[in-house]
Amino acid sequence: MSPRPVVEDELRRVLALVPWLVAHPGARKDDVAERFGITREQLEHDLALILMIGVPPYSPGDYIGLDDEGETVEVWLAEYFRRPLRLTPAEALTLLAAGRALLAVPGSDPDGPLGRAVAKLQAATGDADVDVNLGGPRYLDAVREAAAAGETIEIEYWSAARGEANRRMIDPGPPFFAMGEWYSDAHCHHRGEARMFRIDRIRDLRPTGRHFEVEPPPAGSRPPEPMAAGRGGVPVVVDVPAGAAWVAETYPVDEVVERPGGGRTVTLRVGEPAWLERLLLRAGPGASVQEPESWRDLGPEAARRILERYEEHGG
Amino acid sequence: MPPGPGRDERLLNLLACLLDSPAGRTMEELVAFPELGYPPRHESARRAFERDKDSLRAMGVPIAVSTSDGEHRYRVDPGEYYLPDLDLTDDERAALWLAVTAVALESGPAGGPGGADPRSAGTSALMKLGGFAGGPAEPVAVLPLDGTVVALFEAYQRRAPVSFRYRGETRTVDPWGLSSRRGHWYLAGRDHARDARRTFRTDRIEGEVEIGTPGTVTVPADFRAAEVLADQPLRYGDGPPVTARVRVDPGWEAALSGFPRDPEARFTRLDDGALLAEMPVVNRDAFRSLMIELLEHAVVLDPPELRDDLVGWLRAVAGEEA
Repeated sequence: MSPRPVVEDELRRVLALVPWLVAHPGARKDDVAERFGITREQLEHDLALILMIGVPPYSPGDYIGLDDEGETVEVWLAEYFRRPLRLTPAEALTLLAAGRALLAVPGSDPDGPLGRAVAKLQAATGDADVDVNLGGPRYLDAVREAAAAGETIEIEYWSAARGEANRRMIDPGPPFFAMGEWYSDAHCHHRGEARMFRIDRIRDLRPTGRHFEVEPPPAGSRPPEPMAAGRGGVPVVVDVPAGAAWVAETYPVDEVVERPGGGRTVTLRVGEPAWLERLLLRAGPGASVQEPESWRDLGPEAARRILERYEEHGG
Repeated sequence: MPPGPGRDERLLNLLACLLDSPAGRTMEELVAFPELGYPPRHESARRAFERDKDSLRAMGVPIAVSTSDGEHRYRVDPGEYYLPDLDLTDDERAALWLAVTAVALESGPAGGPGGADPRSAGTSALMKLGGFAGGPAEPVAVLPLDGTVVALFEAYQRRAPVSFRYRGETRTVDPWGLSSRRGHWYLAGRDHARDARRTFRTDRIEGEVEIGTPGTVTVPADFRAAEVLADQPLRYGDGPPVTARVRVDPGWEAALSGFPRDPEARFTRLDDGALLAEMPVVNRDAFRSLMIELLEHAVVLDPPELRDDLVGWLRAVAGEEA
């Protein structure tokens, strides 16, 4: 994503700042800067710009009035900028989707402040709602509670790669939703290392009464990548046909190169070959592994393995 | 610094002028205002004005053009420009800020047509609503959000039909609702050609979304995206369901847990420990996806068309096509 021109960011901010300042005469500059996520310096710059606003041809009455001596600021006569610019579709959708997603997290209060804010937003933006469903695997709450309390849990975990379940002790991290599933980035006692667990694959869970030290992730940080973190994944280059371009949108990829005709060459990190097998089978006949060479036949081989089952069952 | 107003100042004053000119202004009038500081040469001024117009429009400023006597007049209708007062309380605003920081809405690495940067969209939206209150949250979820979904949402907001390529076919659809399920966005609405309700997975839309005439779509009063897109991907799509009978090897039932259970699905334990799953299927892609999740640890028993569909797909992948 190319960075947005600075001048437009500045304009967006000023257009939001003016109506707020008009509505809050005498606001303290430090508070204003904090509220709009800018430094005092940026605020002074914005105020200098606001002072220059007028409707041409300028006459004294057309300028915005501004008093920013000292620690407070007052703006008046900003009739044409009395309200902020309406939300763009991307802005409205971002707020609605984020709000609905958080409301969809099991345990959130639909009648609380977020629910009310989303309802007001929806009413003011063309009555267009979005529905967000994050699902809720059986042990989601239990993992969340253990992560918050710093309690080690014993789980029976089903591994799709090996097709078997086993028991292990983990120190779970707070659950997060990515790529359509709930995960916990945990410390696995069994392996003695960090591992990502899919919460819907936990078949049984027991508290142990033992505790570990909780390290909260830094606020505002990004959740870990389910496929990459703690796995030391192998970089794999896959060509996918135009009809399977969704691969590049669905999985965390290092690189995507569009090929003529709409296909993509995708570089992604793969922890378990079985995961890549499934991806290749879903992407269909036009998909092929370019690198590493040892995995070139992974998709066709997996297809043949399944087809053998059909021959046994009277294909 | 060149003499005269900077571009930021000019854009603000141009916008103030357009908002304050009910009858509109021609480009010649606008570039002639010395206060706006357009370059003196006509051609340079015209280019600078076009660039300013594009910048304002890119920010979402609704610049209207009317033509009379061969003259284009530009204006911004305050009613279109102004954000209605949402009347948010401080705790409601704080809750929205928390949501925007807790839920990362990310466009795919490939971006998308008209792709917007959702994180900064959340920030600029909050500024318009009166700034941030409270701190950011720990990340809870990552959802995809690309330009295709934004375009569909815009059409839905404006009650306009959309046209797009889907599975090699151009579809025209009245958008009735958008839904995010299991990390994918779906559009539900009336398909014009089929004159029936259909569901589309947005990441399978090929290329750009074209938005038709606003105000021409009526969403049925009783339509609820959440109900139509009940969390049963096997049921999305056209036509009546067929019942698939699948034999799942012992120990592999857990792979089914990724797929929400249909109330009409039946599961029977067989004598050898395997599970017999009988599930209604409409969406064959989703069914194939489910079977692929199970790899060689399950077999479709019936009906022949679902079995043949999967076997044909696998043969093609295996390179065994006749």
